[in-house]
Amino acid sequence: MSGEAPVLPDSEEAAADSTDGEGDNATNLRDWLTIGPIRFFAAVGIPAIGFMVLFWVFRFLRDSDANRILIVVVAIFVGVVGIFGLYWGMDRVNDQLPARIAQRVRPWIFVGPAVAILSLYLVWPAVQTIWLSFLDKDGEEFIGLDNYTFALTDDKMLTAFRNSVIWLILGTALAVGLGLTVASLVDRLKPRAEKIAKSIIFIPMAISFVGASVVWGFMYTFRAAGRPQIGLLNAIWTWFGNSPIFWLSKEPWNNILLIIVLVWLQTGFSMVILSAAIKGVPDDILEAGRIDGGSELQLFWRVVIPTIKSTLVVVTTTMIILILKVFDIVWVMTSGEFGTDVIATNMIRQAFRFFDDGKGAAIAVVLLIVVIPVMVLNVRRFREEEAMR
Amino acid sequence: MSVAYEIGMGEEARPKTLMERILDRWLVKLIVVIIAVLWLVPTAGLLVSSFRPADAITTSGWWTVFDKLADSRTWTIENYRQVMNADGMGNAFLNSLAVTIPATVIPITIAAFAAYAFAWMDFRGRQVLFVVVVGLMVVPLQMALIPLLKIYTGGANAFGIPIIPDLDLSGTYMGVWLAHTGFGLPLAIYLLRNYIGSLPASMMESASIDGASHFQTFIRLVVPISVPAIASFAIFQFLWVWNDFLVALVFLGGTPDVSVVTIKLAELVGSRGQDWQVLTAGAFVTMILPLTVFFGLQRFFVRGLTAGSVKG
Amino acid sequence: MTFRPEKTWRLLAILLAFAMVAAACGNGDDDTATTSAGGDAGGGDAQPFAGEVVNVFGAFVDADADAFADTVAPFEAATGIDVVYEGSGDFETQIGIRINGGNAPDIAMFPQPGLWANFIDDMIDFNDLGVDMDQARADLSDYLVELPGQVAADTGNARDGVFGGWFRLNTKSWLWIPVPEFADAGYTVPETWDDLLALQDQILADGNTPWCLGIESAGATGWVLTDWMEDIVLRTAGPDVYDDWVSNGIPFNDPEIAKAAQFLGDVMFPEGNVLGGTDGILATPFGDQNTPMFDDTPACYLAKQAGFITGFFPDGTFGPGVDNQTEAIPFPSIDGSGDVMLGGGDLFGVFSDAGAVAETVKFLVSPEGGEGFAQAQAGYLSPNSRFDTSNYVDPFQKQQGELLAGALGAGGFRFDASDLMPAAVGAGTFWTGMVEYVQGGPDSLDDVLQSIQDSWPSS
Repeated sequence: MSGEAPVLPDSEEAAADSTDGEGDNATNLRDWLTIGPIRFFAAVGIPAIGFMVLFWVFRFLRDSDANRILIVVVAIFVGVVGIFGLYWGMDRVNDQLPARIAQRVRPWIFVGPAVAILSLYLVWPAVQTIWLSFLDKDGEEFIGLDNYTFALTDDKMLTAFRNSVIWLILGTALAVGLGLTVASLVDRLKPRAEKIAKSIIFIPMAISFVGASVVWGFMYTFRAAGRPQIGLLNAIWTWFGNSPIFWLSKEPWNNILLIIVLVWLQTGFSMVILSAAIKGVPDDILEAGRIDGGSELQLFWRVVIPTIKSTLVVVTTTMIILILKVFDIVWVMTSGEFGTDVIATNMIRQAFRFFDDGKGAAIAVVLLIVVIPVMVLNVRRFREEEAMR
Repeated sequence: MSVAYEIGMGEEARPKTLMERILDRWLVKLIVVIIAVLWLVPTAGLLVSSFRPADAITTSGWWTVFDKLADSRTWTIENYRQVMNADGMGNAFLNSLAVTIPATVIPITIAAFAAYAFAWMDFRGRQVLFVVVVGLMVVPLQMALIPLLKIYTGGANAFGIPIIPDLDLSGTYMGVWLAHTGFGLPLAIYLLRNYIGSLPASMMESASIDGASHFQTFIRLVVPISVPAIASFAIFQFLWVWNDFLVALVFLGGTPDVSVVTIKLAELVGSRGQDWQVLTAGAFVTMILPLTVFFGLQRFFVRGLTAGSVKG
Repeated sequence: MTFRPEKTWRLLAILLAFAMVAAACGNGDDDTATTSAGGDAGGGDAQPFAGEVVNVFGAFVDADADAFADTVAPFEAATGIDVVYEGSGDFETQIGIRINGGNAPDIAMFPQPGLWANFIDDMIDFNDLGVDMDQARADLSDYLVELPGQVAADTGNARDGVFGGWFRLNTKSWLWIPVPEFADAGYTVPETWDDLLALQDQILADGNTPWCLGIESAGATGWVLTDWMEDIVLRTAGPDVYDDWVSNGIPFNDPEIAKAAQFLGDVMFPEGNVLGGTDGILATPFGDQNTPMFDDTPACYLAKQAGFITGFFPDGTFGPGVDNQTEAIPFPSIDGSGDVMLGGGDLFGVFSDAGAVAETVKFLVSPEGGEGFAQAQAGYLSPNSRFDTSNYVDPFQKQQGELLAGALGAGGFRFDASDLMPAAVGAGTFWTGMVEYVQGGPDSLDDVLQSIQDSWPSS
């Protein structure tokens, strides 16, 4: 069942494609014997060789005590030209193959290196994590589903699930919503004003998290009544004659205060991506709408949103995953106390503070499972889009 | 739901009066200004704090400086001096660059090829593979560290057969580049596929009819058109790698000759965090480069770049 | 399907080229291996280990890291060994990743013996390193000799042999008072807990706030109060009960522990007793805790924190050559508790049996091992009874050194209990429980202690 979506025929091999008989057993066997290993080679062997070339270049430079600037220059050269060259070389090799086989192999040349790297750097660790999640804290004995029982029933975990839901809903809505708002509003400003406004929203992304944690600590902090408040929130609050409050300890509102930090940090992401998409909405369609007398709001909902829908899905998906994995904001600002723990803080705590590899891994697997519905939505979206073109 | 939308705006639509258009514009400006101010307040707090003595930061609010702007005791460049004059800070900047630039460029190149294949090539298991790739975004990189370090230091064996040789990558730039490449690829592929996949099919078909191979189509047509998407991913990958602490510490280490800026800054804070105020200045010192990259790449985010190329 | 032979040949040729490149890479690897191993080994007898590198990984950074470089400098000059220290504030996470990832340092300095015990299976026995163990034992107090093995056993990591060496200690049982305002206000230094309670009332009666107390510690909030608990238990129940508590020989909800928590409650909960009340306790970063004491009129007259807190004091308030505005007084005794002192320290484990590493270990456990460190950093206190205390150049360092020596000699020194307990308790529920106690008030105590006890790992 090769992909059913309409995709481009490989121009060079189009003729060969038409003779492809799916039911021919002999052909299939031959395919299997020839394409299989070549596919494997394209996906694993060639990247490995390319990698070794890179590595050899690197070793050579390091051993010759080259200075770092030279290393960087060579790395960039190898990283761009070398990798392009690698793909080009693989493509040329592929051209030497019989046309019909070449056509089958070519996509694997394009995705092969990515698949190889991802297999090593993410799939393999994910498999290990799943395996560990069935083992005890030292990763030695098989203990069945005990870690999952913990992950799904422990009091702290239940609080964490509740909070993560709040984070996912509020955090995603605010970060994507504000990003979209800013991206579409600044599109109407003069280029200079647009650049300034976007830069301001973007700045928090560039501030290292440790720096951000200092400043947000100062936003929410508390000083005894009568002493100067150094937290802006309490300064304003006490200016109205109230007694200072340690906001971060007040459930459940403290969760929202922490989500605000995330929104401040991450809105820049959705803004940049969505802004690029909005720039892609053809001017003539917008103009046509304006001439027809559509209000800007109508244009936004009926023209802009449908056009950038797929990008919205991408940004929302990315934000959901990012929020699922966020732990440092909670970790640094409240240590997960006062009912602010989220799933990811529990994972980090189990794995790296309590050295319970099994429980940490089980919580990580829970994250993987939680994201499945989002992925299903993406598949649908993906199919729709291809059915349309 | 399919994207069927009509350009006509319905019966009730009528041309706007001049007054309404002016109001519209001011409303837009007002909302943008309010959001911008809200966003600036914490940044301003950090900036002001970075020029204050540590003792002052913890005893009076940063906004109080505006009462005594001219008082020389209000201000100090000590925090910046501590950051800039720290032993090996220049070296750390070079290390950060040596890590960040290749770790931005390499994943983009690899992801662009893969994204093209996912968007415009037909192969078995394409959709499943793509969803798996995107789903990999959720793998917490903290969970990947130990398995990867094991491979870096000892290779990988299955049933006694070495699958991956011991490459001794631990402590090398190469090891960090590849790690960042691996962790950055899913998002890169996702973003680029979204963009490349939205290019008009007619454009691809005409390239195909002109006899261009996939490789040629990719290099000559898709890459130039995809510059805005590539630029936006480049910005984020650059930022994440530049501000990364954990991956560099695990795969490169924290010894003075190889430590990157974030690690150096963490050291300046002291064993117990007693010198935390250097973080304020450090945040701005380390922010300069990513912001420059952002400004530099902003020119790719202009209207018409895509549309023009598509038509042309 | 058309099969064109010339295409096949070209394909093979290109593949061959790739293979040759790959082979060249293999050679490249070999080259580097030989160059790195082939240092100039013949450095002469004067420097038997010339050119050899020993990697040390620890939690201390910055000035402490420089002090470590000072302390090994004479050793490096004598042996030719290059001791490369790497410090990280993220040590607790990093060490596990590195050891489990197969990238262990030669020597790692653990601030928490509980953490050290986790990796005991990867460590080298000191007996196999040629360390003079009889001398090393004689140099330490019995408690320090026994402690590593005890912790390993308590945490289920017992292993025959000697796997830990003490590098440095620090002290925690200190109260801080403002100088000269404390005496000016007519207050006297409390010798006993009863004195302390009376002093609290006196300060309150004067309309002042007795205590400054802050426990916020990004990601680790709670440890300040576990220190309090430990100091009190050590005095109300004594060192033996303390040891039982550490190993869960008595449960957390034992009356002795509950009593200590109530003592702590007598400080935290009375109205007006702590600056900012319970919100102040939870919100104030531990490093800022003492700052209000330096106000023109002190905002509080008592604060408890370990010796290292001096690093957080505003410039020009404390230290050599400064008109001290604060002073450290020993934590009061309770019910006639004798020479007791709560403290912490660095326990190191060894992951390589190379000759240069063994040599470094011998140096680190020797009385000379910490001299340079002590001179450079006032926070250093030696565990070694033969250590030359003239290396303590700072007055407060001397003061700490004397009390530490007294407590070690009398068998009253105890290591921070939360660093000895299993991490799930010592860096988990014990911290969290203390925060809940502050929030919940005196009535929450039974539940809190019960839930800490319930969390104790079964194995």
